[in-house]
Amino acid sequence: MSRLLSVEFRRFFARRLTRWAGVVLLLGIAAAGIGTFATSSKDVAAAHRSAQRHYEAFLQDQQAFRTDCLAHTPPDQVDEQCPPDESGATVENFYSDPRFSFHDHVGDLLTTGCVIGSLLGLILAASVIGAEWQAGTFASLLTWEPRRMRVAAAKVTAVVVGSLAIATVATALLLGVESLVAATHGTFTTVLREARPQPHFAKQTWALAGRAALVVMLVSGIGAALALLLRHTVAALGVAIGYLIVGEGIIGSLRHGDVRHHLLQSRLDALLHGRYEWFIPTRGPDGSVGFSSDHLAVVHALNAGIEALIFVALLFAVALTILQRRDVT
Amino acid sequence: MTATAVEVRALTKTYRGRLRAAKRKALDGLDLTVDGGGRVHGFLGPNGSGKTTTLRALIGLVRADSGEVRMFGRSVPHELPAVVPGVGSLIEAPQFFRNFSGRRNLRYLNDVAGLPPTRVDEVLEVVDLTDRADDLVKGYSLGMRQRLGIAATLLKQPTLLLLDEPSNGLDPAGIRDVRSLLRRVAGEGTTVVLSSHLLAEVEQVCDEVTIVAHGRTIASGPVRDVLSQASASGGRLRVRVADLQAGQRTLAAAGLTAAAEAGQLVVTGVDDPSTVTRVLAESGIYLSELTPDRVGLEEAFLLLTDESGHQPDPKATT
Repeated sequence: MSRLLSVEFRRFFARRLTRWAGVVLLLGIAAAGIGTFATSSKDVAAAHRSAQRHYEAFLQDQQAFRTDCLAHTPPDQVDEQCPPDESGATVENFYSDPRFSFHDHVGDLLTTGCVIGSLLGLILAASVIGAEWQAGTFASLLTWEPRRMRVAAAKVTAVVVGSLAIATVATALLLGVESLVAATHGTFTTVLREARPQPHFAKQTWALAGRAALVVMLVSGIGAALALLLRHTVAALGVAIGYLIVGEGIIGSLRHGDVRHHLLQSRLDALLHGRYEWFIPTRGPDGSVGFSSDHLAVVHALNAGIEALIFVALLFAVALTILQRRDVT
Repeated sequence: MTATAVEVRALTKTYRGRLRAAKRKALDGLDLTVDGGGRVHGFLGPNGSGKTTTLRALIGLVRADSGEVRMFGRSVPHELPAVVPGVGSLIEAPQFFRNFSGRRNLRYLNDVAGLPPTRVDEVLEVVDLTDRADDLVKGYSLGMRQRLGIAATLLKQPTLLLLDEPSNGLDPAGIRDVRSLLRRVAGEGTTVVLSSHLLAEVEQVCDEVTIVAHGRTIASGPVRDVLSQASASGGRLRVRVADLQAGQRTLAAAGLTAAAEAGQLVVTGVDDPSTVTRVLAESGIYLSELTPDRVGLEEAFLLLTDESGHQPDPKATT
């Protein structure tokens, strides 16, 4: 089994699609770093001066508007037409911190890495296994290792772990690039004015990273299982994307979205973000549908993870049973 | 005593049609026995007769509906993992990763089996592909892919080789090379099952032959015996008698077809040569010579498969 795994890993990383995916990811990471670098700065004083200028310009505009308004409005309508500025705007409202905050963006970066990694994992997994069926090399390999379960297990492990490795490395690179930007053009602390203290920030960030890794593995697993089952890359991708986008879109709209929290997307969402909340529609006496915070469906990460795992395991059970029984031609 | 390499008994397989397509019976109680110990066994049959399905069943790619398959005494597919390390197979067109080089493709297979890395270069040398080994497979000609496929089967130094049309796409020199390669590996103790439609090739290289049609075995044994069987059953007899016309009339009266040719009578469609002897003797005509016309494998193949009621199906690929 270890020999088979070693060969499958080598083949996975030797494929052109895998390498192209790596190149595209590197370019994307570089573009993201350059974009963040170009739009951030450590010059807080300049940002404050800019905010002051904008605030003063705003006051002048307000004053000019009121003066003009008073000059052209009948006295009995002045209170209604030309009220004094009651916006309560201060210079702080015109201030935008120019620094890139690693602290405030690390969650978004991990989430982005997870979404891209999942999509990549789905494509790579479906492609690696589907292409083997189409090329006939799956059958060739079975003449060397006739235990189909072993062959399937090695291939699935290689594509799932390989996809996770690529996603992990890409996310780590993204975080590295963004932390460089934070070091030169930003800060590692929060820049939010109303920042809530997060005593377990590091722990929460690692938990998010772990959950993101699990999502990438599950989605890659779905791609691999469908490719094993359908024996075709495009068919596997079509079914996966068709179900997740069209199928769940339709199912999610049934009964005013009452069933939405049962869907796979909701499960993955809950797993990634820690929880998924959805208002359950209620019917009033007149038959009208309403939403209230009293009827809130909450899916927690643990439940979502277990249910998504069961879904993927069932998919694999079907795929492997059929693989074991069906002829390989 | 030579161990039996392949033993197939009463194998049946029906392919389910897709959607409204009808079911198709590919194997209908096929029997096949291949002795081990460095023999080359020809496996012949018209298109759609079940050759490839049989080979696929041997290697576990196709699940038979019923029947028994054994290789080296072990039941297939249950005990296949124990047998496969000694079996090299090339079923239909060889399949490789097109965007990898020939060498890399072989290296992957070599590593799956845990063979020493030097085997790759050795087999590339055997099939004369060393110079192109680092080119991508997608740039290979059909013949080169076929040679790469043969190289892959040799990696394991198998005791049994299952080859399905190994000469496909090869030029005459390539076909000759394959022929000598088969004789060589057989000489080294490898048993070869050779499915081919090149009857001359089979006749030259094979020790034994099995002919199948409609998923059934219609003749099997040493090539010489099968040819004799064909000669006797559907073949021709040359009969020398003193009075050709009298002999011809007598045989015709007995329902046999006889034609005068070069001072002899050529009798066709005789199941048993003794019938001719008896019919002529009963009419007081005594033959001075009776010789079965030896048929070639091609003629034997046509005779035997025609007798089995074969309807050619050029599109079938079972």
